[in-house]
Amino acid sequence: MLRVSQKLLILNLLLILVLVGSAWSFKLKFSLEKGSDDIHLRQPFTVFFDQSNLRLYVADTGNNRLVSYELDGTPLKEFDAAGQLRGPIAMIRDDHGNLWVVERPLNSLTFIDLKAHRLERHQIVYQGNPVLIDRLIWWAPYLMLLDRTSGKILALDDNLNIKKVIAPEDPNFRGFIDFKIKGDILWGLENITGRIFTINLKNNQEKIIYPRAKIVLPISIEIDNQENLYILDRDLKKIFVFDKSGHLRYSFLKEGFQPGQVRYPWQLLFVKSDLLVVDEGNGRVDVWGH
Amino acid sequence: MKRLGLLVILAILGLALQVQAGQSCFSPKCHSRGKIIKGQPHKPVASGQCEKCHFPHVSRYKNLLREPQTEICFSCHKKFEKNISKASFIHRPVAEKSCLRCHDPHSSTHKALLKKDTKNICFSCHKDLQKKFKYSHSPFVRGRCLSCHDPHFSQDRRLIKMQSNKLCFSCHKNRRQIAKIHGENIDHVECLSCHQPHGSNKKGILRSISHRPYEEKNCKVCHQTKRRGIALCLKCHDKNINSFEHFHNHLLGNYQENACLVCHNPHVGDTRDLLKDKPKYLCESCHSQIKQQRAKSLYVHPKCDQCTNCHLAHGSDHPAMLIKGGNDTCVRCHKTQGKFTHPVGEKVVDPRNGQPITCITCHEPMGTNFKYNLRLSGEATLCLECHKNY
Repeated sequence: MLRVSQKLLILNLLLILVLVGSAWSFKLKFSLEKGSDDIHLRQPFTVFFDQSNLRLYVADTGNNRLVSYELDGTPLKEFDAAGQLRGPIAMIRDDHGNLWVVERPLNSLTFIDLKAHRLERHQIVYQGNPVLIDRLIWWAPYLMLLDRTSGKILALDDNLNIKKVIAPEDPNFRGFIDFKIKGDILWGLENITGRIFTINLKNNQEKIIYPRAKIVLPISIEIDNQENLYILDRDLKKIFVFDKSGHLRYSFLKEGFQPGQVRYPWQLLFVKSDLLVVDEGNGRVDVWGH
Repeated sequence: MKRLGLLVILAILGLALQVQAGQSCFSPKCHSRGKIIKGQPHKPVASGQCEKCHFPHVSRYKNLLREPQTEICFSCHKKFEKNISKASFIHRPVAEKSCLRCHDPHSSTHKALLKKDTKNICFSCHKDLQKKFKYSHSPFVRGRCLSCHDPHFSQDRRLIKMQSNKLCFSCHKNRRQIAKIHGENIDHVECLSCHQPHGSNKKGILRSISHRPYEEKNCKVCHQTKRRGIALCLKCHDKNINSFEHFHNHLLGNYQENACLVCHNPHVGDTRDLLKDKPKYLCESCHSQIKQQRAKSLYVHPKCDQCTNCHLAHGSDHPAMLIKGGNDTCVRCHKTQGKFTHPVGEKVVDPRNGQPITCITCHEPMGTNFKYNLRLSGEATLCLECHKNY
């Protein structure tokens, strides 16, 4: 018969194995590196997953183009709006199949109607200040964008009117650096501190999660189906994984040039159960799977 | 005869006890008490406990010390060592455990066993502080550095004893007079953001460079306007918004009410762009990893603390917010390396990631443990990353 202390020891060992195992179970499946024209990605910033056609779209910022991929990593097409795109850092495809692209050098929210071959550039202004558009998410019927000038998230309608401004009520709020929306819940990552704000977009209920780890430069956030929180640290070149109350579960990733290593990572995105890490420095998107 | 034997034994015992107590170390022939003890002695010296620090016969450490010089002080001052470990900022000699740079281990005529008086001891390293100002702060002139600074560690990077306004108000007690100039909310004032605590050529020991409206006493330009946030600054500096329209930028909206003030002081400063602090400290306040990297590395790029020599502060299209690309930034100074070197540039591709090879493919200016700031050993490891068949 096992003593209580022995049972506890075995339980602890099992727990450690589960924790370590979950970190180990993330394995690099493949990387998105080139377009179908064999040209390597250059300073890619973000990736967008279109659920309607199950395709991935990479903002190939340094090459002034967008590149689409099959879910298995097969490159499909390149799109640069006949040479008109300038430094696209983010994009989404809305319910009508139109593209919304952030062209950072022009600070433009650019609308592209692919069928009509129409491209319109828009500058957004909020409270008299030019909006420095960063991350984009389509949350029907709104185009949600992160404004780096105000640090807030703006919900825009079809006519690009600001319908809602999303920011926590916390007086110490220091602006968002990234956000994700899952269902009706917005998860916002705070600048520098790495605090995570959850805001219910329907009833405005708020919650703050304090990640319990020494994060240096949080840059992107993701949430899995179990509500584990993934924070990408650009300076530490690591992904920290927390449980839903902010306790650190494990961390992975390291600096380097080889596939699976990162130099200047920018974005995390879950596509089904795969975790995509966009690395500007190595010019690729690493796809990690369980 | 028996009595004589007893006396001899007692004498030997007494001598042994004396040796044990360290009394025998002090003798005119060996270690003159007068030469070792000048002024206030260190407690073990006063009680003749030389053996607390020294072996009498042999030792593997200099001066017959029982432990390395960097460890011996902490063998007694344990609580102090514990406190150091909790501090955010540690004075370099303390971090290096070089206590003897400031303290005499035996005795001193100065307080706290200091080797010299405070002023001389501080200025022996901080030579750049020996300036004469038109207007000087009294403790600075009198060399009373320790009135404001903690010489060992602090929670503030300037090693000040407490939060700056509290520290200032501990002497400047006439709060009513201060409130007259600075407004009623003086507890939230950061005195050192505008005042140079050592001295200045400006009245009120203000920092040397002023924002024009402040210089012209045209306060209402900023303080009587409906504009808030960065709009307030953009009213005059309207072209600056374009400097943020890059792939990377430092626009930290909402980090505080006016994001410009995360880095800039709206009134006065020591630099032309009115930075709140020296670039090194200002940048490190967020990029703390870089500070650690520099501290841990054997080889760091010279003038690495002048961040804005290579990095743009507002925005850049290059990773790490470099001024130019990974080659062009470096060849501004390293002119020959731009011409004669391992092939670099657009047409030379790194097989590991398909990206063009630049100087920073192999070098890491922020610091590494390899010569020339190489990322890995230049003997072979680094080269073999790409040239696998060699």
